[in-house]
Amino acid sequence: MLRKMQLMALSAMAIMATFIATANASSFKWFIIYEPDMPDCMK
Amino acid sequence: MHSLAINLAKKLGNSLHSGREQIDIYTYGLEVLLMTLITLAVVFCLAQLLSSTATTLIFLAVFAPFRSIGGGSHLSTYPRCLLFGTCLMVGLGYWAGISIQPYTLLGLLSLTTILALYSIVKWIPADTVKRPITDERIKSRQKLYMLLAVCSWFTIAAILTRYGLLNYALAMVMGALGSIFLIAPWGYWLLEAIDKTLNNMKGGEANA
Repeated sequence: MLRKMQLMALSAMAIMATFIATANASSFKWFIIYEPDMPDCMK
Repeated sequence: MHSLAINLAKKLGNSLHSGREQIDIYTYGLEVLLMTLITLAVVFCLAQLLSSTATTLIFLAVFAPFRSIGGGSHLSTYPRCLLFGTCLMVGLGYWAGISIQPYTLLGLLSLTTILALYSIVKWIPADTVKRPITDERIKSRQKLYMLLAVCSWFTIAAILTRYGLLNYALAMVMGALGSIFLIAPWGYWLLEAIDKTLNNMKGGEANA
């Protein structure tokens, strides 16, 4: 049960990270004035 | 920050059996997320200390969508971004708390609107070297979104002024001015100058 919940939390975190990374036109850099290096696979 | 994001992404990738490319995407997403959360935490703490939470929140409510749609200049490292961004957000949020006459505010609102419309025509979307925008359709779409954002911003700020909530309206004007400053060429010039100066100081220290 605990393992299942942990997996769900990690999956949610992964989905969120992917969504933020792939959202177009710097949509998520609302409050930061720095552009991290984009991974090659996203260029 | 980058190392922390890499470690978290690797752990995430190992647990979910993700591939190399997917881990790179997690790293990028987590880096943006962590930076945003840290910046917001610092800004909220300082705004709370300065008793300007309401005006700072209103400032951010305008600054964030304008920057998201319009783009703008960036600094080369996160610590510089944190320092400059915090000073800008907390400083202008605090400054919005000053007493102002309705007519002065209306003048400022009108001037900012003209500047915002000019920036839509001339500078938006303000892209970066790391993420250039070349597609004309995306450029036109960003201009249209920004126009809608400016119309909404003007309407709300005018209503707040009409009902005497002058400091909230001023915070909205500050939010627009802050984001337009970073979109305009002088924003690029200033951030480039900050980067160059700090790089030279760093180089000087290394040579000493």
